Amino acid sequence: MASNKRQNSLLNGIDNLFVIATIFLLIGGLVMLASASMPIAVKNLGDPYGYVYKQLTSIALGLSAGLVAFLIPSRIWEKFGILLPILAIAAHNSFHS
Amino acid sequence: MLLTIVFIPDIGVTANGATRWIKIGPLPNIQVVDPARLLLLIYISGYCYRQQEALTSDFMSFVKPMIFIIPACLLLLGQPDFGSTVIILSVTAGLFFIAGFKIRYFLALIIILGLAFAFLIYIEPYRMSRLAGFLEPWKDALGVGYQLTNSLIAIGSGGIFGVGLGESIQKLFYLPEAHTDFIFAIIAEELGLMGTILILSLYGLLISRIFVIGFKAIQSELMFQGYLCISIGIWLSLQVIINLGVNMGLLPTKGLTLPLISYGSSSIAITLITLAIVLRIGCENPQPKKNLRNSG
Repeated sequence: MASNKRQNSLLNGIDNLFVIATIFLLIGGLVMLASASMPIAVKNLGDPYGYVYKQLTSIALGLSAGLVAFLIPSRIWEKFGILLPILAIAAHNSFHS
Repeated sequence: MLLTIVFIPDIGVTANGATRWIKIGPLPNIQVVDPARLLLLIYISGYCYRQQEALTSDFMSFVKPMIFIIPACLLLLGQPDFGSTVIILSVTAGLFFIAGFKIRYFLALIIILGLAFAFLIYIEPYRMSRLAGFLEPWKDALGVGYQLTNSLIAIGSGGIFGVGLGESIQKLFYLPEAHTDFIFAIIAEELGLMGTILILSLYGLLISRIFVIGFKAIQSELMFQGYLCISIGIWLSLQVIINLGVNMGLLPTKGLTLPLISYGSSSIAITLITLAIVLRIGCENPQPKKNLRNSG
């Protein structure tokens, strides 16, 4: 119950104009990307919408990662700010060895 | 540190003469500077928050975070990625200014940075040739000035209302990188001045909201959150301004994307994560009590 209430107050604080600007830039950008990338997509990928699909995948990835980032309290970033690059290297090295 | 990865053979991917990408398994190529930039912004904001006292009195307080930033910049320059170096150093300087760095130290800092950038341009022949191509693009319109002249042709033929969506001529292989760094020129060609004004007002709205959130956080004594928002705001505005400047021939060519619009897997994903952090900070700011129902 308490956590539910906290979640609600968190959502109330969402900056509407910020979200609207982001969404319009994303949609407009996707339309323009579709138009601008069509010739080169046919040449490189053989599919006029190739780059659009790739971009859509990245947007979906970014939105899901963004949701996770949104759920992390911002103090955490300050506390672990220096460790993050080291972690990234460590994870990468263990992944490849 | 993350930036060292691109120098590992087999992982670094070279495109257009710059090794900036890493490839891990089936994932799309990652441009390393994107996550690294976000982590550096977080680090610098945290540093400004922790060293609040020293920052206002001591010039040396600027030198300490350079232990992290200068190696990162050298790695970026090795890739080579001059534009990102300029952006990271400028955001750092801007954030120090907001955090209360003394104005005469700040001026000294700007002069040092300016000299450093001038030196970096001078020692690399390709940067000099780009600078020459930027100053007089039409002199060598098929050589170094090729990209810029075609970008200018695209913007110019757009006129006020543009040639219409999908009708661009320049995107048909006249303008290289039409879907990444030079997408703004295609927007200007297809949608004209009206389209670019619309895009710019959306960016303006977004960036102004980021700064509003940041200053609200600082007013509520959430210094780290405020600094982080402001550094993100400065980064986003610089990135947009530099990309537009490059497209319109006001700045020399650099490999910088237009955030949220250009094609680029890691660029767009990391930008969305960055914006999500700002959104979270906005939600953590104390909200004004909504008593509309009671009072009405």
